[in-house]
Amino acid sequence: MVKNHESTMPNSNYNNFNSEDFLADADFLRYVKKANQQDVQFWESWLKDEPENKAAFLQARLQLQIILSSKDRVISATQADALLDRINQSIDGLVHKRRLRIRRMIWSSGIAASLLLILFGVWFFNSTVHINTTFGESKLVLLPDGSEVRMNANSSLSYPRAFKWTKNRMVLLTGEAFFKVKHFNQNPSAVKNGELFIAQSNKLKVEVLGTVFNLKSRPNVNEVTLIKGKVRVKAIGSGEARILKPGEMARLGTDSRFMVNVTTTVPQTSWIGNKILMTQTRVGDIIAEFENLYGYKVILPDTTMADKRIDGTISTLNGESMLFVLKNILNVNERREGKTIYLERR
Amino acid sequence: MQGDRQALNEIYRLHADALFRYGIRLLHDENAVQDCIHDLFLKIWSNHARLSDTDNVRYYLISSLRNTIINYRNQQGKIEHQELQERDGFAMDFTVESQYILKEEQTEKAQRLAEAMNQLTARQKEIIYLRYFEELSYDQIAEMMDLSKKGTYKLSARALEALREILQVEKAVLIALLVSLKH
Repeated sequence: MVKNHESTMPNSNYNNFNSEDFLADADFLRYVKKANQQDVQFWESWLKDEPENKAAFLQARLQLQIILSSKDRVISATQADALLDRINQSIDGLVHKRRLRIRRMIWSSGIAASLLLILFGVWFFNSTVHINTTFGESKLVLLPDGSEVRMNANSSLSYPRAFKWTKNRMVLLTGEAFFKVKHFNQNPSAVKNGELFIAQSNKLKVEVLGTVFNLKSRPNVNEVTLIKGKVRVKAIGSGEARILKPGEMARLGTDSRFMVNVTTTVPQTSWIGNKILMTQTRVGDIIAEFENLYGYKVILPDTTMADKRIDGTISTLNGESMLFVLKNILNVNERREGKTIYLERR
Repeated sequence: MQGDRQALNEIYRLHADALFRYGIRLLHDENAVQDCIHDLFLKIWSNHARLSDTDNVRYYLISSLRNTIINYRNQQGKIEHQELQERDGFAMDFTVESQYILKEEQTEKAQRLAEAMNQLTARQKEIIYLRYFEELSYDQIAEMMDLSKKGTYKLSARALEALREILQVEKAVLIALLVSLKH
């Protein structure tokens, strides 16, 4: 509201002003307020010339004078200073509170982060990874330590999420899988944490350092076939343990004891190539394998057929074609009731 | 931060008098007005409001104080509703016995004009105060008091009619006063 009145005052056409104009004029207002000696002098001399609109001037002046007559209640200097002190103290309080809040925020976010980390840790070290294959499906699983597991159909594999952090590398299997275990061990007489690999089914426990082996855990068959390296097989039921050499197969008998055979290992691992190799193989075993892989229940016409032995190769890639080949070899017809297949002599 | 605080203190020293003068007319309670000024400056600090343009600082402060006082009154109103009614409103009394008015001008006409102006509503008095004491522009007044130009004109015309009837003051005098507020 501060105007440079030297530029505005002398040339204004105040002689044409009416009361309203005077009341709206900043210089006139300043004059009535007697804020500036120069203003007072200017207007007094202007008035001396007896301008035509003198009456309007006086009218406006009186009106402003009455307006300005309203007395102000003022704040004393000491009160004003005291109030400023109070404001500054409150601001200090605000600043302090803000610092506290920031500090608290850092703390609480730190705590939150730690909690999150703990939760993650709890989850990480307690949860299990589950991998399943359905009927007719095969999967290659790469374990966190670099070991490979080829899962056959209708199988499930599980291992702790913190696989690499546990004392032993441990996987659980039902069904059948072919393992290529990464070898970490340097000194076989002093096995360190994480060097031992354990594959366990409900009946068998296979402890290895780094080998290639096949573990089969089906309702009617529990066997381990070693292709490379060395494994220790333990029967969970009886506690009997055997060390296997490459080319040996340990099968758990119905008495929960092992029968160890030297084999060519090819028939035990041929499933990886989606084939069953048969060398004087019992028909019952082949039928059982078909049941395992495709989830059917097969009823043979009589028990003598199950004990028949056959040679050859059957593709397991497709359930229908596998059944078709089996039907032709056994010279039977089929009758289905849901998931049950009845084989009947032709 | 330190510079901000110094600037805030400087602004306070420049405008505390005006804020108190205006506030006490609205709130009529010295301690309450001081509390409101205190709260206003704290709010300015918290909001990191930049008050560099000197021309607008006075307007910003006065309109902000007005809001602060209205909020304060609303809060108080919840507690003691009855008492508030009489104290409510902008206090402004006019008289011919003033340092501004020469002895020879204290005529009967001046007397009647002062009386007529004392009959103005609190809102009209506040407009006059902001215009002639604080020298705010009409646009600023309209904005802070939430008036449209037309609305104020209507308000003035209504008051004019009422005053003319009650006091039979010369119409021209009042027209001059009230019309001057339209600009």
